[in-house]
Amino acid sequence: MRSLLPLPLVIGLACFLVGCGGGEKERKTTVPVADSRPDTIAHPEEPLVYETGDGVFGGRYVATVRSDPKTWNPMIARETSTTEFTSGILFEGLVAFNNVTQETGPALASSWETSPDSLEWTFHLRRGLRWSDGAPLTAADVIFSAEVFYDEDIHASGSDICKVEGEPFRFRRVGDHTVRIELPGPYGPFLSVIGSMYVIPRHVLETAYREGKFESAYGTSAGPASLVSSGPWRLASYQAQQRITFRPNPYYYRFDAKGRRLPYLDELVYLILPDQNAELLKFEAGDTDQLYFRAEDYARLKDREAEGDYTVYELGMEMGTSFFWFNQNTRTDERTEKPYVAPGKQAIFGDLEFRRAVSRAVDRKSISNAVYFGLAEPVYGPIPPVNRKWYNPGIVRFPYDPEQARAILDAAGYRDSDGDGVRESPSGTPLSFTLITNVDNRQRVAMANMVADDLKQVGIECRPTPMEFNAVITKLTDSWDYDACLLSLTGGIPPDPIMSANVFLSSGSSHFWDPRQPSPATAWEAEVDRLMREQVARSDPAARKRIFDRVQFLVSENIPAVYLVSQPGFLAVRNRFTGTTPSVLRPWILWRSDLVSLDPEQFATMEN
Amino acid sequence: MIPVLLGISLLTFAVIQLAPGDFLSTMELNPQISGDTIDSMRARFGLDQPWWMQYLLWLRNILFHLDFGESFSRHQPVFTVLAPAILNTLVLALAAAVLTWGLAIPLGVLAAVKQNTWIDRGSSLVAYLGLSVPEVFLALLMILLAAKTGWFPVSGMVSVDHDTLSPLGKALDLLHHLVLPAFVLATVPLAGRMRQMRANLLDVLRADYVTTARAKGLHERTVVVKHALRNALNPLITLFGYTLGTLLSGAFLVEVVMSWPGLGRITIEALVARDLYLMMGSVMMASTLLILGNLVADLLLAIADPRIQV
Repeated sequence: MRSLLPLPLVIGLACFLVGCGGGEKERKTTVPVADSRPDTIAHPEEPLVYETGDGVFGGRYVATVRSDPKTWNPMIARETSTTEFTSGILFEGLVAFNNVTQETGPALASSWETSPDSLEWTFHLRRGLRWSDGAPLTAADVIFSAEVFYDEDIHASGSDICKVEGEPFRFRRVGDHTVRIELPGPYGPFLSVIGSMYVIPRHVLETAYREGKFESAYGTSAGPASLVSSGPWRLASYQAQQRITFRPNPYYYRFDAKGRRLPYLDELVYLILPDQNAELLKFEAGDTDQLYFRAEDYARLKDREAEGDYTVYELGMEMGTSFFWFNQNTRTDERTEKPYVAPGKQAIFGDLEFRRAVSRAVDRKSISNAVYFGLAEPVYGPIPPVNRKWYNPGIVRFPYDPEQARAILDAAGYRDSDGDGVRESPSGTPLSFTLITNVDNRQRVAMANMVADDLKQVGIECRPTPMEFNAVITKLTDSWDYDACLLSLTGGIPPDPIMSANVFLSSGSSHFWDPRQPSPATAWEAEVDRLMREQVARSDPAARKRIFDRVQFLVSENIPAVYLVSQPGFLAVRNRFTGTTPSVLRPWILWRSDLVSLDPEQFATMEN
Repeated sequence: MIPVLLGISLLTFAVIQLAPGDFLSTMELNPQISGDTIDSMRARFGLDQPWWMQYLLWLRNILFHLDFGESFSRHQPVFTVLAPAILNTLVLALAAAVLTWGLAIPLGVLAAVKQNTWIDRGSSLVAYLGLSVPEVFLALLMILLAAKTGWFPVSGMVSVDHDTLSPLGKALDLLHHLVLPAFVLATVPLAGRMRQMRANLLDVLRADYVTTARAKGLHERTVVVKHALRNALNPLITLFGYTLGTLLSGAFLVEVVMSWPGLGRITIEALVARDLYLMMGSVMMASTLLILGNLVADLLLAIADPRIQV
């Protein structure tokens, strides 16, 4: 008995110690940096040269993503964890979006002209461009990319917005370095959307495409050696569910002001962390170099700025809005032969006075205080102010005024006849409805509860009902049996009105309050349809802005949705990096990954 | 075994189809994807057909072509996606199993032999604590411990520098990352097994043949280890096979919270995304492992207990 004791405990202790002692410690190795990188490859005849050039070569930057990329193929990349890599890290298009200026600028194309009627665009590819395997990148690649882009079987991401009334653009090759694009009709958003078509290597992917195996080409099981890219990086290694490593593309065409080929960093690493808490802790432990976070973590991360040797950037509001709307669908469900919304409720939800009162009853400032620690901004229209190019400051606002809300409801005939605290409509239907949202989003659930509280003060009963996201989607897109819903939309990049066309058009699938209408149900919706079609057809940006301003005005006036707040975004970045241009638009720092560099000034105090 | 697997597959398929939405649902809310795109994708994935039709197609592909289908979101064969993940989960489950049994049996024996002393009461306390603490909470607590003290990594299976280490370094790195997740996973079963071991041994120690052995003048240690323990272990051996099953399901939670790249994480991602074939493949893999575990348990029992004939 006595000798039973030591053995298993000794073994256990030994395992424990081994586990403790071995493995990673804090990275205390010094990082060798240099003023230049050995570069024996000829410079392209037409490189892109930045105005800045103070970086040093070397070092590693560690970022995070929430889940594995689903593919390396930019044509079929659809969700953020995948496009994070296919757009801008591995592949580029003819033009690229600048997150800070919010303008479109040259990328693979050095310049372009357009005909006076804007129906013909001529793009000049840079001479001397090469893929990461050394093969030349020419107009043939662009033409091939266009062919794949518009292939109906593949339905590439972004192809829907690169069409004019369903007709694709026509790409024509004019020599090795010139591509002419002919539009079937006038298309205002052209320059904003043409960058959605990423150029793919013909010499690698054409065979797979002709054999019908395109979609699995460049899948995540493709080895790094077979993945040919045009962006600043090439894939070095990928361990599923763990991490992705990128190394510089030796044939990259961008250079700094001193004529040195970019990118500066030797390694770009992404850790795959599905859990938000783990992401935060990894950053605090010093394992990652950037962290995008929201209001709830602000105080904690701000406090430890000095200790963790990082800087917190207040990026401003995100390009999106939270809102809730009433189901204004007046059609009948063919399957049940009953209207989607009961006639009594239909009358209430369709009454503009009711919606106006609701907008007045909601205290957006309180929502910002309670849910976003006072850091969010109220919004009253579909386009938030952060969208500098398109926001209309002249929209109609119905700010918080519960007295006014009650007055409007009284005047519209909604009174509480039975004294239960809930008003009834003139026909006797109580002002009582359920508000659905997705249960996994804490902020939305909190906002729904606050809206319910606010509405109770003016005699409207709102019952927040969080449910699983897919259940919400089924209700919104298939069964349409719900009263009201609270959701949020983020802006597309580039933030052109075409990105939200499906929201504004009455026939659109994202026209939430009454989607896929066979014909506009109201006069103002018909007007918005007309305006949206008109602004797409105009090429003069000023004209498009005027028209879209009017769309925003009509939406804010007719309150199809009660817009609540835009939430703020924050970024923490280690101080040892320089050349970072933080933006509230994804990917906050790495949209300019080629210019990120270790800070030579910090080497004296830096151990890593 | 085959009928069980068939039943599991049918039930799983039916339940998945019952849940609202399918793989393309989230895309329906995206203003940048047109309704036509989604309809054509639906036709291509075969999601527009009745659920029993989809099930039969899936079954046919497995039985005749050994094709588990393709993941909608990754456009990769399901097996390619799952294989590395299964390995990682097995590593975790095995580590937790070693921890559980390596500690449960000695501690249980100790508690039984030193019944009602402070050792026994102390281990009871630990056992009840282990049984009552929710796994998620414990996982988060361990992550906090790791973050505050820096003794262990916060999450993940290997460190960023893993590839640059020597083979020994790589093994140590893996062990270092394995400690906390395995500990969290092992806690609840450890407590249960320890109590069971103690109870079984106490029962056996009361038997006549133990008294006889003592009367014969054998060392107490021989009595306990050579005679009593073997009989006390009998019921626990059966449990050993089931351990794999319970550890697998427990691993799902631990993997998600502690970012261990295993089967659980992939399954939950597939579930949320309604990635049908990936989910089916994952459930079938887990079920197969569970059934194999039960088989192992039965075989072990047959070996250990001469009364049982296979």
